[in-house]
Formats: sequence, structure tokens, C-alpha cells
Amino acid sequence: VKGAGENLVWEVIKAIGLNEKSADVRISDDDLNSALTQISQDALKLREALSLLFPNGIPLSQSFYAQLNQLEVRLGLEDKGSRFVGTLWYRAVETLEPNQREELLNAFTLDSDSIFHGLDWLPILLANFPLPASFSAEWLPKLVKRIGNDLAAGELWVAFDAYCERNSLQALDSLKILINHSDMSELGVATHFLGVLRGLDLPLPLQNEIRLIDEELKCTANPLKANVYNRSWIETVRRKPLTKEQLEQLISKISHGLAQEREEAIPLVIGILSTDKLDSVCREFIFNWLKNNVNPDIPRAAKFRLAAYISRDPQTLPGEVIDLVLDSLPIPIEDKGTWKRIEMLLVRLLRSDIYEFSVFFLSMAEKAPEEIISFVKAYDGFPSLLREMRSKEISKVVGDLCISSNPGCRRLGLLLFDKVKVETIPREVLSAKDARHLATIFHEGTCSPVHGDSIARFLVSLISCMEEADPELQAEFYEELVLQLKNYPGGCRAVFEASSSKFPILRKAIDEVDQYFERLEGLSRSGTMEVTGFRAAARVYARRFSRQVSESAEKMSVFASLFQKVHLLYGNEVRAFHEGELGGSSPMREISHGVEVPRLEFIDPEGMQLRRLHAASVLKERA
Amino acid sequence: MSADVRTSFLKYYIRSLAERTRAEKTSLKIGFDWVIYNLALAELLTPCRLPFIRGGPTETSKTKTEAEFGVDVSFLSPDRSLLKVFVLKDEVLSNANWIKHSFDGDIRMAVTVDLDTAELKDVREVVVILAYNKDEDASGVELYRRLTGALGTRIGDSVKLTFERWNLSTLTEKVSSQLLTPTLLPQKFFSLFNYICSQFANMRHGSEEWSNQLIPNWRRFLADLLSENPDERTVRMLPVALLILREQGRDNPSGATGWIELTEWAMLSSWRVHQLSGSSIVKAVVVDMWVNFYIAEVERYYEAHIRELSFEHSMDFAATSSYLDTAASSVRTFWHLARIGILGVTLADFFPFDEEEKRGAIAAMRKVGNWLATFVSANPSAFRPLIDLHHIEMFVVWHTWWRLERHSDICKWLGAIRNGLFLRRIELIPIPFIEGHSNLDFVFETLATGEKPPEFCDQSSLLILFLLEISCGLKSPEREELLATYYEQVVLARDCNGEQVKELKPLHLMGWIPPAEWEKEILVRSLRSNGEAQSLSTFELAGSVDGRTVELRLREFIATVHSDAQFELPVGVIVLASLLHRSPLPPQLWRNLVFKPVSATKHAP
Repeated sequence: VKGAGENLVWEVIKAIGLNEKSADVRISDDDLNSALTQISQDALKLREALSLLFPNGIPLSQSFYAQLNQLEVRLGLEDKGSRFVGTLWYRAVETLEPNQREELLNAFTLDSDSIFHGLDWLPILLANFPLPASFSAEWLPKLVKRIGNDLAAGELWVAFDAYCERNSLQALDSLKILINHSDMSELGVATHFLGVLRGLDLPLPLQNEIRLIDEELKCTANPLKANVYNRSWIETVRRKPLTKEQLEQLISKISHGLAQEREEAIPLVIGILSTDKLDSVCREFIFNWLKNNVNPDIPRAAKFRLAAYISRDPQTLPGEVIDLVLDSLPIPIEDKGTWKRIEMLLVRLLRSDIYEFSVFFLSMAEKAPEEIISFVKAYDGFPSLLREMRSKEISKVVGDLCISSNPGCRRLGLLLFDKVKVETIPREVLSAKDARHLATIFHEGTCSPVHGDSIARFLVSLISCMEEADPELQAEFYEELVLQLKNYPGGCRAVFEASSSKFPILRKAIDEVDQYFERLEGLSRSGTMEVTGFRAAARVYARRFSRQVSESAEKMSVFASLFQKVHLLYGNEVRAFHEGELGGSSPMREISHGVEVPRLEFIDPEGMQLRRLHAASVLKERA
Repeated sequence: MSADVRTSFLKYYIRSLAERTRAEKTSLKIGFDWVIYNLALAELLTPCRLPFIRGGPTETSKTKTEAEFGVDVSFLSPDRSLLKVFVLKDEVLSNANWIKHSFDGDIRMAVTVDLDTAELKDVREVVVILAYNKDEDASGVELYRRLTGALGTRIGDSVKLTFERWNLSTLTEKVSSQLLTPTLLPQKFFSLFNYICSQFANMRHGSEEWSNQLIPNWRRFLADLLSENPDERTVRMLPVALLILREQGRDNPSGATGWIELTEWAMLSSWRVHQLSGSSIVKAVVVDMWVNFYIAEVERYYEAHIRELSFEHSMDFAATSSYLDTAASSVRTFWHLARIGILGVTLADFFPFDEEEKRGAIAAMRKVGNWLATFVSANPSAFRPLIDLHHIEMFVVWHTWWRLERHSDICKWLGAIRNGLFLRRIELIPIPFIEGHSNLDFVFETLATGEKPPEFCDQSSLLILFLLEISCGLKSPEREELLATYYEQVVLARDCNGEQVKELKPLHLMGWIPPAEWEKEILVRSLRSNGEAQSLSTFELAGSVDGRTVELRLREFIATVHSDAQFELPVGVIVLASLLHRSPLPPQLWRNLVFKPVSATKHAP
């Protein structure tokens, strides 16, 4: 027991006579643990502890929970401490009059702090203290509402499980009230209670009552109630194996049920599948059902659940189940969560088998190339996948995309060619295509915005095939070599130079462009006039650019979100004084990253845009 | 500048000077005594006798009224052993003038200089120099030779006597080699002009300082110099001042184009004198300066630089690697387009009648037309007007090619401009559409911040109406094609399939009728806020746009508003004035050519 609050705990322990040691002697965790166990088992001691904690009586407000929270923090025994506090809570509730109890419990839901601190105590309370149905039907949904979508919600449902298991009768009474409500939190609790209670080995009378509820819900025309019934089966399956007949009946009911039920069918089925409590026959049945029911028109939530399930462990799933993701395409790019799951799936496939990955990815690209491109571009999507791709030999799959007859696939191929820094498109991939197709690939390359070294590698990949192309295309290709050399005199030239001994056409282009730059540099441009207003605008632009870089760096940096940002005003070294200690000195470091900007985009933005439009229109005509 | 041109303008100036500098009722009469005085100072001689009382830096020296005894000006060498005595004459050295204007008497008196004074006691040699700023004839020279031969070689026993004769050429040569400094100008202008010279030497052409300091100073200097009905010699001082400026700023890297711009302001001031002066000589001097000084200098500049300017992307620099560079490149390119264009327009303006000269002028015009073609094709920025007033530069390009009947060049040029404008209109590239208020700062701000300032206007354009109107002068079918595509893509912002892009509103085409006093005022100030703006309502909103319909509507509009009033100023001067004062061009300049009946148009050279 440490810290400023130790006196409170110590006083509690000492006063109830479990430990005779003086207050200034620290006790071990074991001693404390054993003391708490003893107090928990002795109602009298617990009452004494409560009166020490609350000498003026149990406050019917949040201060009660604040005091309990302080005690738990000071106990510092994690699980055992929580259980002890939970025990104190239900004992405190026990001592109150019924109306006071409700007031105290309602105080628990007044703010999120109390709930989050008290989630660990809740199972003890709910397991030991049967609440009146009318009260629990109000109070428990309030807890659900308060906790919202927080990850801690899992603890809450565990507490509800405990309530159902230990106070089944009261839970059933609450359920009867809740299923007639329409609020989503209330229905959520009802769904959970029904699922859990159905899965428990309850006395027959209770089972019969549950059966009656099931019968009523099964035939209801109320979609909310129908969904309570359907979803509750997920909880049931967690506790009791489902027979194939039961599964068939359930799925058949949903498939032929109300529109809202049908919408929920896939998430529900996947929810059942995700419990991992199904036998192989049931699994097979569900897989088959999914194969027949997954299509591009299923709800977005269903697509998410499907992607999440399949991405979890694709190696354990048959190929045709993995392909269900393809059947669900397209997926809007705003559904970042779904795309994130697809990325996980792709990464796992790539790690396990490049061939399987290639087949899957090509099929996916064929179905939704524009969505993938947009997701990568607009949200910097697929970072893990791109990283993984860089470490694998995937030039063939990228090449296959680049030569695809689908324009979207070609664009995606070029995007990956650039992002993954693919060295070359394999010759065997290109040689499979005719001259017309070669022209298409080439024009696609000319209208896709990629980095200088990437466009250079792409063009170098095409040279061998271009040698057999018609003269007109060859001339156009040579013009492109020259143009890109002028556009990217750094990256493009380096790539061309490296291959120039192998391909004379590159040497010729380099020589031509070298002359261009020589002449350009030789012009007496030192005497060029300035433009009034340019200098001021350049300063504004530099500030804006710097701000953008800084904001972007902060956004992308893990560290920036962890540490406080301090603007250093002077000096070239820094050290920090923190909590009474002066840290070590660190020199300032400059971090820079350079990217070659395409020259011609600034010299002739109209011309470059027109080139792209022209190439796009040629491609469109050809298509 | 060629040595010939330089010498001739210096010679004109020196020849125009009076013997003595004096302030008269109407103006200042500048004398070449001031030139002689400064030449002597440049040779480190000490003034011994001056014909004037020196004043302060902004004053005019006062003429002495005392007897000269033949000696107008005299100077001592630093060691006091040499005395140079000047006899000044602003007359031709001829038999008729020899006695009439006292050449003989004054030279005789000059050799009788009194060497007994204390300051001349160390003199061992006297040089008597007859300096005259006019021509001579053989008899005048012979009279001079005989007289100086007869006057002997000594004064007294020990002082050597020699004679020199400085005619106009000698004076010009000496000034050119020793005196191209601010001191050559009359004393009252020295201070400001000296300051301008130092600014010109140090400021980069086009910089903020250039525009905000040097140009206002230069304009003030011009106003001072040419105030109060200036005479020939005052006007002739302009090229001399420019020659001095050029000399002083020869180390300025951007001096060549900067000097052209300063010359342009001087030309506008001189054309204002042309407008106001009743003197035919003064008018002739102005025209001479325009053609043989400014235009000749522009031509010389492009003769020397067109090769490099016409190299691919010569006008582009990566200063910021942003679209600011793109815009700056356009501004520079349009500056050159204007100057080459003014050259072309002026060659057409001053088209000679003499057959041989005509052939030369045609060759010169073709040469300028070719310069424009190569310059434009090498620089994509030539197709990128940024502000509405860029119609002025586009006018001179069009005018030059139009006069040469280079319709194919015009079509290609207009087509390329249309393509770029369409991309900007539908915001497919980050360069904003033409700024209607012609404020380059707005353009730069847009590019620097990524947002258009609230004042940015891209909804009205005279430039686009100008382009449509000049397209009407082209041959079919290019004419219809250009009119249709300009109207559909640029005015209505519809794509090639006739689909409206991004819900953009149609552009307001804007005509302008200059105010009645336009020609009088344009040499002095901008008239963009005067006159009448004419908004041409949008037509052809539904269905595909037909070029013939566009042409008919334009012709209908022009028939209603067009005035074929002629201007007295040459077109090149009008263009220059509009350019420098940032004022739109009067539309009749192109309408008179495009919409005139074929028989009435001038035949192309």
C-alpha cells in the first residue's frame, strides 16, 4: 500500500482488527490480500469497513463511487482489489432501502467516469444482487448507452452474463419488459439476455418461458423484435452447440423474413460463424449459404463483417470462401474499416503464398480497380500491403495489371509500379501482347502521373517490344523518352543512363536532351528581368509549403502524437527540465527528404495536361 | 546600341545647343559652354575663366555679362604650365560667318591673352581652341588655317602658342568617350538624374524597387525636363540622358531590358511633346527618336537576343518549383511579345512609299514575324495570358502576323491559347483563369495560397471578346471552328461533348469604348476607369454552338457599337502607352482591320 491515500486503507484494515501492526509499517501484498479475503467473507467486517469509508452514511451520489474508486486505486491489487470493492458495493446496496438503492445505482450512470471505473466491480454486484425487473430494465440499458462504442463494452456484457447466470429469473423478467421497447440499447440488452438465457441449462419452467418468448418473436411482424430474436442466437451458440436443423431453420427464417431481417442476415450468419462453436457440417452449410447470398448489393455493414471475418485467419478458410470478398465488391472508399480488413487479408495472403495472392489480387483489381486506386490515393491506403509488396517479387502481378485490357487495371498497375518501385515489367508478360495492345500500354503510361524514376523504368521495360512496333509508335515512344528526360533530369536520366549501354535508343535520347540542357544553361539568363510581386508571393508560398510539410509530418508521425510539441526559440542544442531532473543535452538535427518535381508540369502545365487528355482519348477510342 | 546611332543622337544634341546656357522666359536654353566646361573637368583642368557663375545642383548657372576679350572659356593644366583658351561658336564655320559671327576677331583676341596675372605666371604654353557645334565648309576652314598660320607660334618670347579646331565631330567624339555622365546634363537636373543613374545601376529590372522607386523618379525627371513647351535641344537631351543612363548601368545584369523600359517612358513623354508642340522641328525630332532611337534599339536588342530567346523553354526558370514560376514566365514572355510586336506594328505604321525602301521594310516585317513565330513556339508561356490587359500584347502579335497574312500562324496560336484557357476555365490545372482586373498580385496570391482572393475576377473578359473578334477575320473553316470552340469551351465552359463543366457560369464578354479625350490623355495616364464598358449578353446557351452564329452575333454587336475613328498617334505608340499605363486598347484598332470591307483594307506587304 503506497501513496498519500494509504491511510484510508490502512485505517480500514486496522480498524476492523485484522492487523495489529502500527500505521507506519508497510504491509506486504500477501498480507493485504489475505486481509481482504477475510473481510469479504465477513458481513460484519464489511459493514465496519463501509462505515469507516463512509462515516456519515452511504452517500447516494457519485461521491460514493469516487470513494470506492480511490480505495481500489490504493489497493492496487487489480483483480482482487476490484472484487473487494465490488463486494463492498453490493453490501452497501444491500444495506439501503429499495428507493435508496435505485438512487445510488442511478448515480452510477450519471457520468462515464463512474462507469469506466466501476466496470470491474459490476459483475460482483450483478451476480450477487438480484435487481427488480422494472429497475434493471431501465438501468442496464442506461449502462449500455453510457459506454457506447468503447472497447470496454466487452466487460459490460460479461457482467450481464453473470446476471443472467446467477439471477436468471430476474433476468427473464427484465427480458419480458425489454423486448417490448424500441430503444436500441434496450433491445441490445434484451438480445443479449435472450441469447444467454437460451444457452443456459435452466430449470424447465424457465426454459418453457423462454420458449414462449422465442415463439412469439419468431412470428412477429415487428422488425425490431425479429432482429432481437435472430441476433440472440449468436450468444446462444457461444454456450450451446447448434444443430444443422436449428441453423437451417434460423437461416431459412431470416432469408424469408422481413426486409430488415434479410438485411441483417449476413452479419448475423457471420456472427454465428465467428463464435467458432460450430461443427464442420454447420460451417459448410453457412459457407454455402454465403456463396449463394453474397453479392455487390449486400449492405455495407455486411461487407465489413465479411471482410473482417475472412481477414482474421484466411489460411484456415477454403479459397472459395476467401473469394466471397470479391463477390462483395465494389466497396465505397469511404468505408475505410472494410478496406483496412481487406488490406489485412491481402497482407496475410501475400505472406503465405504469392501465387494465391496474385490470383486473388488480380481478380479484385479486375472488379474494383478505381476503388483501389482512389483508396490508395485519397487516404494513403494500403500502407502495410505496399510495404509487404516491396519485400516480395511481385513484378509479374504488377506487369499483368499493367498490360490488362481493363483500363482501370492498367492504371492500378502503373500506380503499384510506382508505389512498390517495381524494377521492370517482365519480358514474358509483355511479349504475350500484340502491337495494338503495346500501344495501349504505352499510352496508359504517358497519361498516368508517376515519379520520374518509375516512368523511366516503365519506358525501359517497353523498349524491347517497341523495337518491333510500327514506325509511328516508335517515333512517339522516342518523343516520350526525350520528354521524360526533360521532365525528370534527375531520376529519369539515372535510370536511362544505367540501361543506355543495352539500348542505343536511350543513349540517343540522353545525348539529345543533354544538348538541350547545355544550351539552356548557356543562355545568358542572369540578365533576366524580375517580375513585380513575384518575390512577395514566393515568400507566402514558401511559408505555406513549410506549414503543409510540418502539418503533414506531424500527422504522419507516431512520436508527434505521443509527445508535447515545444517550439525552441534559441540555440542549437536542447535539454528538458522535467519532474525535478534536467535531462541530457541533444543536438538539433535536420531531417530532409527530397522528391524530384516534374519540370514540365510547371513550364507547360497546359501542354502536359493536354498530352494526358490526348492519350486518354486515344485509349478511349481504342477501347 | 550601334556606335552610329549613339554618335548621331549625341551629335544631334550637341549641334542643337546654343553657345551659352541661359534661362529664357519660356524655357531653359542649354549651351555647349557647359559641355566644354565638363569636358575640361574630365581632363582634370582647372577653370580659369568661365562664361557663367556656377550655381547649386538644382540651379541654372547665370551668364556673365562682362567683356570676354575673345576668351569664352579658359582652363589651366594641373601644373599650371598649359593654358587652354576656348573660342566658342554656335555657328557654321564658313566664309560668310567668318567676319559676321566674329570668328576672326575672337581668335585674334584670344591669342592676346594677358599672361601677366599671378595665376598665369607659370604658363609655358597656350592652346587656343576654336570649338563650334555646327558644320563647316572648305572656305571657312581655309580662313581658319590662314589666320592661325599668321598668328605665329609664340606669345612673347617664351610661351608656346598652338591652335586646335574642335568641330561637331570632335566634340561628339570627346563627349562620347569622356563625358557620358550625369554632369553632361544641365546643372539643375544633375542631382535627380545622378540619383536615377545610381538606381539604374543597382536595381534589377522589374523588381519591386524598380517599379516603386526608379520608375516614379524617372517619370518625374521626364516631366521636369519636358515641362513648359520644350524646344528641340531639350527634346534632343532625352536620348543623351538615356545614353548616359545606359553607360552608367552597363554592369546591371538586367540593364538591357530595363533600359528599353526607361526609353519607353521617355518616348511617351516625347510623344506628349509632339502632341502639344506647335513646332514642326520638335515633332520631327520626336518621330526621329521613336523610329531611329527606340525602335532601332528594340530591333538591335532582338537581333542580338532572339536566337537565345527562341530556344525551347528559354523563358522558364525554376525559382520556387511551383506554379508561381509558371506565372512569372508568362509575364516575362508577354513583355518580350509586346516589344517584338511593337516593332512589327511600327514597321507597318511607317511603311515607306519608296519602292526600294518598301522591299527593305517588307523584309524587316517578315523578319519580325518570324521572330514572333519562333519565340512563341519555343515558349509555352506565350500561350498563357494571365490578366485581361494581356490583350495588348496579343494584339501586337496578331497585328504583325495579320499584316503579313500569316493566317496559319494566327490559327495555330489562337488554337493553342484556347486549349490552355479551356483547361484553366474548367480548373483542370492550378493556373487561374484570366484575372479581369488585370492585377498580377491577385494571380500570384492565388498561386501562392491556393485560394483566389475575394477581389479576383474571372467572370468578365475583354480579352476573350478580342480573341473572338480577331477570329472573325480568319478564313473559313478555321474561323467557324475557332469561334465555336472559343465560345463553347471558354465562354460557356462546356466540354468537347457540349456538356456543362462543374456548373460554371458563362463568362461575361466585355467591350469597351474609350472616352472622347482618350488620345490626349493616354500618353499621360491610364484610362481604364474612363469610357464605357459594354457587356455582351450570353447567347447560344442551348444545343451545340455554331461558329457562324457566333460570328453573326459578334458582327451585329460591332455594327452597333463600332466607331471607325482614326487616331493621330502611330499604333505602336498607342500600344506602348496602353501597355505602360495599363489601360485597355481601343477596340477600333483591330475592328478597323477585321470588320472593314475587304476592298478597304490595306494590302499586306
